[in-house]
Amino acid sequence: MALIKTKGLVIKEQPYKEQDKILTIFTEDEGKIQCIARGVRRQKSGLLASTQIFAYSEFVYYPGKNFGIINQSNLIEAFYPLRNDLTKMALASYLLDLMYNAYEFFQKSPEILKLLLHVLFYMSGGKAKNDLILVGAFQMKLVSYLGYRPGLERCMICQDDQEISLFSIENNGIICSGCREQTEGYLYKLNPAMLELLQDFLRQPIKQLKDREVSSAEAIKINDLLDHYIGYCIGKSSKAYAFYKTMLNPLG
Amino acid sequence: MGYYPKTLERLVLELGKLPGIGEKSAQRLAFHIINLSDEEISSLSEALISAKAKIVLCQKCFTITDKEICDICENPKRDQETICVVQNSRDIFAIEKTREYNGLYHVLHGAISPLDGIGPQDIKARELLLRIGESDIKEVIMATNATVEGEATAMYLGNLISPLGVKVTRLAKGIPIGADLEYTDEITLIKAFEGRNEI
Ligand SMILES: [Zn+2]
Ligand SMILES: [Zn+2]
Repeated sequence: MALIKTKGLVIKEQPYKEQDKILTIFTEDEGKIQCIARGVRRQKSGLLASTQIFAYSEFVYYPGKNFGIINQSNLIEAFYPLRNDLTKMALASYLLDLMYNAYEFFQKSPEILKLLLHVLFYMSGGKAKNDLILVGAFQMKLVSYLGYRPGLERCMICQDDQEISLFSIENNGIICSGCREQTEGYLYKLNPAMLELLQDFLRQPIKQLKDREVSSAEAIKINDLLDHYIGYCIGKSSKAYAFYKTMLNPLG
Repeated sequence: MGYYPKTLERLVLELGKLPGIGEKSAQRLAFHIINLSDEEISSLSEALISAKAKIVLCQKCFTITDKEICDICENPKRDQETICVVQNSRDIFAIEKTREYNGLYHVLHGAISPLDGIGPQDIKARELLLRIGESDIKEVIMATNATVEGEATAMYLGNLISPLGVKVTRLAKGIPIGADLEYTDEITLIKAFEGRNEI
């Protein structure tokens, strides 16, 4: 069997047998794959650092029907500073969880992987004005890329662009105050600043958004909305998001 | 496995559930066990049952013990001003074997892991903070694993403990004994340089 060589980000790890781990790796060339990393829970393994979650590494592996077997791996970036701040780590873990939930095994998405790497780079390096903006931008771009781009220009019911004040999960986008009565399901209140932020998440590149200043209270509301919307679209909700919310005041 | 008597089959099955025991080893152990004398068998089964029944967590450090307070916590010769924080009781046995450390321990029973939904409230973190608040601790050594979760846990607890006026240290990371420098990953090398000692 021919070896495969590709770069990828470890998005999940599970202990396996005594010394091994099963890794879920989102790779550039092969998409979301599962690999067994042998002996990596032993001190002497040379693969230790490159097979932890958040590790972006070059992997060489034997492909298999369900599991590949890792033969070699070289660490490219560990996003090490994420470990120094539990809130950052919880947010970054959420992004990995989204990636895990949004794609099937062997499904490819090199563009979203690239976006995620940029987000992790900015987050771990403390290069964004507000990490919640990075999260919101990733949520929006991911869900749009998956084919569920929300309507953010006109009311999804009457097509008017006046008095937009709500986001309707079930209508896949914004609605006006006048149509509120006609809709069922979950509604999120939007003020003009929040609407603009949602639109900019779609329009602007991440390297521009990282410099955006915003109140964390509003950003959290947008993150909540988008997480709910993603869960509705892909049919899976993220446990890591719920965890991050409890993390905001853990021992209090 | 149909060619074994049912009772032996069950024994093989149970032994095979133990970590590191494959089917072959389970069979070998099972045959060994059925050839033991009656006394040896009752001693073995009594050991299994009493270990499970009597092992509890130390009320101070939360390591496994068969007393209310473990031997280490009870020993007045141990340095009462230093706590070494570990993830599991097994880590204590590893450190004790080195005979390098003479302080107390605190077992967290895990590490914070957002992806596994394990938060500070799910490990013995609050208990550690209470313990530090109640006693005259001068130094807390974070000896959690050098994994993403272990590092994040150490950093998180360190940030809560430092404001209490207690020195917080982290075990230095270095090159494993017997490891080839060439094959040591970059992070370990950087950390080893940071933690280098004069010789
Ligand atoms: Zn309308
Ligand atoms: Zn104790």
